[in-house]
Amino acid sequence: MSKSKKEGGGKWINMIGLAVLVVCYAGAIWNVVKAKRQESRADVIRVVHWQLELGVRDGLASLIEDFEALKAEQGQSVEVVQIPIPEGAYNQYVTTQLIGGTAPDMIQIGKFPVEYLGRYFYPLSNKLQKPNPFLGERLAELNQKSERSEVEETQRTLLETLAPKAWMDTFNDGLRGQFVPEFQEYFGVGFSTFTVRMYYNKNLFLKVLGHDRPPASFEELISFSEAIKEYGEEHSISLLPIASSKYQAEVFRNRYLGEITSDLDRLWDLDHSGEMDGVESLMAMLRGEHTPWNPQYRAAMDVVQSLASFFPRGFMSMGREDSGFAFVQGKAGMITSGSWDALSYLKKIQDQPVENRFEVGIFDLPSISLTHPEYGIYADGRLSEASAGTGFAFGITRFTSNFDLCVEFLQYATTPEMNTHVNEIAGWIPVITGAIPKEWLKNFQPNIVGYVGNIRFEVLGGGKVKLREDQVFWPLISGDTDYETYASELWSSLPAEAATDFKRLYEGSRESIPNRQARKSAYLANVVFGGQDPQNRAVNEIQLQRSLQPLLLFKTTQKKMDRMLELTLEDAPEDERSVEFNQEFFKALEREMSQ
Amino acid sequence: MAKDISLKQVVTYWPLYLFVLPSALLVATFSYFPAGSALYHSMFRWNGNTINIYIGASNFQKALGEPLYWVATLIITMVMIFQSQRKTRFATGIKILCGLGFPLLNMIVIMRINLLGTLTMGNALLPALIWVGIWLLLAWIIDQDNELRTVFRYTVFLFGFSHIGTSMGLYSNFAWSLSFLLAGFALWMLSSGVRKIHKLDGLRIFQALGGVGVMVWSLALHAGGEVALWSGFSVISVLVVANLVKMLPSIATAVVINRLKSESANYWYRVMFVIPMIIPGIVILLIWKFFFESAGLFNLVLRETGIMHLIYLFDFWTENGVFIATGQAATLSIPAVLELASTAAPSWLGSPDLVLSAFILWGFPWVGVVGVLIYLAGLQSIDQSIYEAADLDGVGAFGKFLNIELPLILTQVRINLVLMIIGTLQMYGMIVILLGDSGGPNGKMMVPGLLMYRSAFVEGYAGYACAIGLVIFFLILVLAEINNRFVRVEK
Repeated sequence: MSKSKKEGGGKWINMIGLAVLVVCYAGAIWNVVKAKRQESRADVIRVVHWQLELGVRDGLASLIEDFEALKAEQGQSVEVVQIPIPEGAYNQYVTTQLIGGTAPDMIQIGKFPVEYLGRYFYPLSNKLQKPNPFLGERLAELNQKSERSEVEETQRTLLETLAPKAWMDTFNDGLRGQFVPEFQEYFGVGFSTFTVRMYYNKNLFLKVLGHDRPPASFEELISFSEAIKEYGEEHSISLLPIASSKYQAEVFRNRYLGEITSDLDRLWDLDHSGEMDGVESLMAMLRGEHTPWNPQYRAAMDVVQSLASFFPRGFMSMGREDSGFAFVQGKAGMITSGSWDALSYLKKIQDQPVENRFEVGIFDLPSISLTHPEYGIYADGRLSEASAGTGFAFGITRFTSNFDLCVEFLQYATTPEMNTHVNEIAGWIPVITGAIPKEWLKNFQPNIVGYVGNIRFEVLGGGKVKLREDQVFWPLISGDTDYETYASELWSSLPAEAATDFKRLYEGSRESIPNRQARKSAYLANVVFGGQDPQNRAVNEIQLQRSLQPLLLFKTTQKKMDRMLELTLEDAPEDERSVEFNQEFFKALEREMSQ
Repeated sequence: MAKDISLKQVVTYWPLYLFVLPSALLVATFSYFPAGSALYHSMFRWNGNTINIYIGASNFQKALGEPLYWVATLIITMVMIFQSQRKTRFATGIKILCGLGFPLLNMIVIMRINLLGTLTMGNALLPALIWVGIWLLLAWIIDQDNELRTVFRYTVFLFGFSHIGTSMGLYSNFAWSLSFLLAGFALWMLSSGVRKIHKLDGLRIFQALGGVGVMVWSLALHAGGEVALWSGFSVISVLVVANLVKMLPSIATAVVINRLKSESANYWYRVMFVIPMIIPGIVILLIWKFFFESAGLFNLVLRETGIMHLIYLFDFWTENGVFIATGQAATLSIPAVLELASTAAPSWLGSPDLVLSAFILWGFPWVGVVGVLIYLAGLQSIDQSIYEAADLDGVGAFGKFLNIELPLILTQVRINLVLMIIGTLQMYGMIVILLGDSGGPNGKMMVPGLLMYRSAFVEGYAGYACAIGLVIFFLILVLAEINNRFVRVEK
């Protein structure tokens, strides 16, 4: 080949790379232009959430499809984009998006500080106090029909009651679960509610125990677990009585700590707010009452440890998915989780080979009976699930340019029909009055009657005390340390950690006042300059009044905390351990406050 | 070689600098601006949302404790580093201050706050035997003429004496201070009266740096700073040493591939090493998490290969209580221990005693793809004539590695070393994925990077997180400066 031809061939080869680059770049530009054109033609709203459980995205996708079709019929081009984010990264994602000013139109509320709601989200109280227009439209549509089916007649009867009601009153709990007391506002509208239950392998129960009924008491839970464990050992099969991970261990801890210590929660709730807050928890520690050696606390931890003996080794380093796998593969007798995992478990069991499939039963975690020889003396009874209010809630961010469209979307999603539809696909419990849950979800209906509260070592949510307690709880529950070591390690580090958390609480209560002042000013401005519309003025007057309440609350918080400290010092304990705790705490607090 | 030009010439040739401008702007925006922002926000109680209150150096005080001690130590350290290569009286004085003064001061402070510990001679036997053994082994391996002979002896003395002291019950910081003081006394005071000590100046500089290190360690423990931060640094230092050792398999692999006679085989081995790079790191991490489960592959391999039995026997003899509870060990015989080991399934990520070991062991056999390729590139630039000359001299395979290959890839090793230290100091992502943001059992793996992440995103104290970040930055800066000045590659 001649040199020039060779050189020419070399040049062509060099051009290939450049051509590929140009083509890819052009393709990328075209995609961006196409997306921008789409946005300019349609109203686009973005919805972000962290629910990656089976069925949820499908349920939302179906809702979105129906909503887009409805708006298309009305002559409006709307596109709703669903953005699922993994739970572990959700907090970071939302934080950076909100602070960066690039947040989507609607965000699932949760996993970020409550302060973000006031700053970045529109309050929805005004909208929620008016009827849901979709209910009225549907009722009108049904009334116009001369002949109605049985289903439509039932619907019409329901809507006659619901349609005139305020939107928030169409929820089973009146949307109480989404009320934010710090702001006296509602910021979110939810689609589902959740409770926690135990799932069990009926086939395995039949094989091991000779029956497939669930345990009726805590004692039976222990004895069934022991039987499954012995069966596995006798037959040399890897069999777990209870599949568990760190996630499930927390569920058991919360439940049984509550059952045994809820009376202490009421006793130590000094301001009778209904629950023991961080400051009251600290006061109880300083009084020498709230210690790891408190017999009730000890008893509760013993209960959890006795259950943990049936968990897999190293469960604290396992994730929720690992324990779920063990259960659906038939390697475990029981597992606890929420209703959010129900559909996932059922589907995955069906995906197993035929010989490995089994029937799933569901039961509530059995309470410790009052006649239990060891723990009955401390047990109050079952806990109430009244707090299982509306969840899976979305708020509308202030970055949206389609506020009304977002509200419409939420209103559409919370009609009985659509709420049933979404939750049917997701396998979750609906929250709208008249929405019908799936038959097998009836076991998840919340039990309202019961006690509330539990005692935890926590002064500030997500603070140092809670972190330390989580860290030392891990080896205790795994069986790597004994209780005395756990108690000593926890107690010795608590004074310094509690001082840090207390200082942050103290500062937080003072610094939150400017935020409330700003809100108060906004309402005041609306009252004074809000125009002649009497309804608008009346609403703003109510908001102004309500906004004064948290201000008073937070203005007195520091005084309350100071007074509580004084009372505690007056009632100081005399035992050596508590005296030392007090001394260390106040020394650390002095150091913190001086910084 | 770049040519120096005057400012007038820069003005004349300004269009050329336009080519640099985009990169400079990007670096300024995405590197320098965030750094500047972190420096700014570290002086505020900032929740990442609204800047609340200017608090000056409070965040640093919380992390470090009494700032005056740290500032003084930092100044003296930097002066020492800058003066290290000089032979003036001032430079010598600074080195003596760091080499002898700091350990002596440290010992006095520790004695005053009564952290000496209680001496128990019994536990010193095994460490003493080990270190004497190492001493004798080195004496046998190393030639009499080797200039580094004194360096090895000095290092063995330091580690050995400190280990023995700590085993005897002395507070570890005190034991190390005493080691540095005694070793420093020998170097500074006795050196003139004894036969020539090779590399004396280098040893004195090392002694001075060690003295500073001991002082920094003491400040970390007793200056009133964040305990979690400094215990995290101690975990990081273990990981740095482990990662240093884990660099060796990559070097060995590169050498083996380089020595393949067949070019085709050489090529295919390189391709095989590159292909796994497409697997995301998190996938490998999650697979290792699966391995580390009690019923996982790791325990199975240990049991089947008999390593689990050795581990249990060692734990039984030393009464560490990691695998066999201390009380239980007293009632067991060796056959019983072996029986226990044959069904053992320890939780590597769930136990505070084992989790650090798990983080050291993960990634076995530690053949890093990027490292292999970098070393291979360096090895392939070695001329074949050097190997031929070595063959003629009768140099063996290991000799070729020590005398030809390793010296000629030291530049790459040094770069990787720096990157490894920086990466290890900053690490936290792996821990979040494997153990969550609480740092694992008993908070054992709460490293500074994780503490920084938790402060910012969980506790909402982004200003404090910025301060922690700057502390890590300064530490990396000091280590990088030490590396630049003292770790030289002779070309």
